Amino acid sequence: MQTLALGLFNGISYGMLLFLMAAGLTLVLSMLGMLNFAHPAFYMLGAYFSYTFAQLLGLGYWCGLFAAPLCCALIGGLVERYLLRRVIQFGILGPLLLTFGLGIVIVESVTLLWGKHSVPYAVPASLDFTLFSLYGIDYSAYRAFTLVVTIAVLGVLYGLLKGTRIGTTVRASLSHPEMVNALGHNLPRLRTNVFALGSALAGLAGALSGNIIGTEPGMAAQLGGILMIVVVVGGLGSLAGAFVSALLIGILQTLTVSTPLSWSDFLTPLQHVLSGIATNEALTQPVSRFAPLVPFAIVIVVLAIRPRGLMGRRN
Amino acid sequence: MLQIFSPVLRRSLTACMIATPCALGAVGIFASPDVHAAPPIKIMVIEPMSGPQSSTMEASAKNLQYAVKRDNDAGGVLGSKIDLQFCDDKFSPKDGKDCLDRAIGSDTHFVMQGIGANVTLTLVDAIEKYNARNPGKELILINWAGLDEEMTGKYCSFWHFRTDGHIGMKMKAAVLSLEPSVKRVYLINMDYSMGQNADAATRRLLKQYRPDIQIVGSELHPPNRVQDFTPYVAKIKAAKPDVILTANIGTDLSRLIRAGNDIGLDARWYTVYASQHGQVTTIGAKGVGKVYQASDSIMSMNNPVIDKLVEQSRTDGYGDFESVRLYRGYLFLTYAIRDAKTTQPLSVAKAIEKTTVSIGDYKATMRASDHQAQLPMNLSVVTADAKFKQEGTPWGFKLLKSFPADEMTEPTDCKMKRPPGA
Repeated sequence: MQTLALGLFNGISYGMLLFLMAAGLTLVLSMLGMLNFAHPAFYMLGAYFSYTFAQLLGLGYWCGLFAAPLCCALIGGLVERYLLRRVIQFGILGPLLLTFGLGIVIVESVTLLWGKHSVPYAVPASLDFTLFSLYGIDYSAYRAFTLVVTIAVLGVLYGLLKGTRIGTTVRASLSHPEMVNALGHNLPRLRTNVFALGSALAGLAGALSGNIIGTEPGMAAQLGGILMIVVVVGGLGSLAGAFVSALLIGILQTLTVSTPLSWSDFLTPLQHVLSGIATNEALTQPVSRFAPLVPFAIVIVVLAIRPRGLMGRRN
Repeated sequence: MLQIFSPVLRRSLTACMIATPCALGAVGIFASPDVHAAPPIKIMVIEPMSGPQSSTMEASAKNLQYAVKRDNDAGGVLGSKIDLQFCDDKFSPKDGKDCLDRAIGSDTHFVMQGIGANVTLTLVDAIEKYNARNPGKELILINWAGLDEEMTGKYCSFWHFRTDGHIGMKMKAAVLSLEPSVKRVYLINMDYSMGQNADAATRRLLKQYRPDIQIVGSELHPPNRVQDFTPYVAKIKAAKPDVILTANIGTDLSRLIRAGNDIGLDARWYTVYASQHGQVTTIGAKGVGKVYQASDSIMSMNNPVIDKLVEQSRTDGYGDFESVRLYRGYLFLTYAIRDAKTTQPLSVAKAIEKTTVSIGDYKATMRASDHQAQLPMNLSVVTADAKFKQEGTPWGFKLLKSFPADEMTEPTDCKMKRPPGA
């Protein structure tokens, strides 16, 4: 019971963070029709900008938390307006290659500006206390704060998309861009704004989690793989699918780590049939040893059984 | 384009253009210092100079450059200057092999490598094959950081020398320094060759020296993949250990300790790599008095010669000498070249086998049977009380206990094939 409660709590907060990052990626994918390979790089930039504003410039964590997504939005907007717009005409490959190269350039620029080592981006002192203790494990107030902010931002995003006029325009331009253009809406500017929003979401995720998991140049590459898996498993272009898959991956991965089970425990029901195999050394390995590979196992299963993702549209 | 100038001007210009290089050449020949100077001794360092593993190497590279500069300023080794080259192996065996080919092509016979056991073993294999076919032009590999026990065990090679204690020796220091009151221990390591080695070695040593200690849990996690260690440390906290033993390195170590701090994990950490560049910054104030390290050396070694080296390195702009690991590897090589009075690889290799390096009172000796250096191991702890603080933080590592080399020595199953003449 303890393991389950811990696993769920940790899994949900990890999953929500994944969704915050995946939401920006999915928005850009549905609106602009391209996979932004530089998305993890914006996540990294968010963490570094927040660190710079909060600590290097001494303006405090809250300033960093607000400024970092704004800076990422600005850079994202400029990238879309001046770079992406030029290569969209080259089909799928153009933006793909551009964002791939952009990701590399951003990572190397960060290394040049802030160095190769991890930077001491710290949790703010005002939130650095234990909020509550569950089964002997302390839960820091900062983690609860990240969860609350993530839910709030995503709620606002949902409200924006479903409730406001501009949200309606964005949703319309996902499926009928020419009509929206013909009706007089400034479609190019809308696209730039959506890309900027996606980058801002990534930057916010970085600002929120950089001080928990460490801020260093390798963080973009580490996250890139998981992010793509979340988006693919959820279904390319589906925000609800990304939500489900992020939570699924977060919870499953965390539960796999927390469990003391081994592979042979799963085979116990079949023991009569596989009597020799279950005691093989490889199968007595604990399942937790393979926990971070859970997302990859999930994506293989999903692609094999349901290639369009959990909630993707058949295209 | 010369048509715009008049014929006379054109001819004078042409004459100038021919005369100037000749004049410069003549001046050059006369001005060049010692035409008969001894050829430089080339050393190639093959390490990840880019990518996620490169941050460690950046600082260590400067340390080595400083050591080489000091030697060169003092006249070099056997009258020859040391020519230090760095080659980026990008942490992959294929690029490591490319660097080796570059070394062979540039007539370099001394190679230093340490980060990445996968690269080390590939290089050892390639060097064995090359040396067998090219007597007189062999290459020697100084392994200054690879800790897998098999490198001086099952895979030992005459041309490979390990100048650091292996993971068994380091874990031995950790195990021997556990107080009698420690009864519960948790092991967590990265799931690759060095981490698996560490896990197996720690179990073996605990059984041998502290059978009263109970291993309440052990974990192997995929290296460089885990973002959030909270579920791992939750598991550790539930097992209630007194001490956690880990050979984790880099972000896997700092994230682990930070996650442990976040959930209120109260045990002590016995690590191997906590004093590397960048770690103390991330570990922070909560690590003071709780993060220990069993290693060959730290910045504050209570040794006047090493202290002076650390201070001078800082003032001369070569950064922090986080440890003497790489420096010691370099010293084994230069001592041996001086003893052998030649740079012939076979003679140098035979000399390294008998070399004892000393920096002040600090000594390390090479063991001829398996080419494993025998050296003292130290237990240190993060404290605000250290002589040298790291990375601009108010904390550093302070020596708690020093184990002499003969206590740290471990047996080996190396069956070394010696080349003819060795």
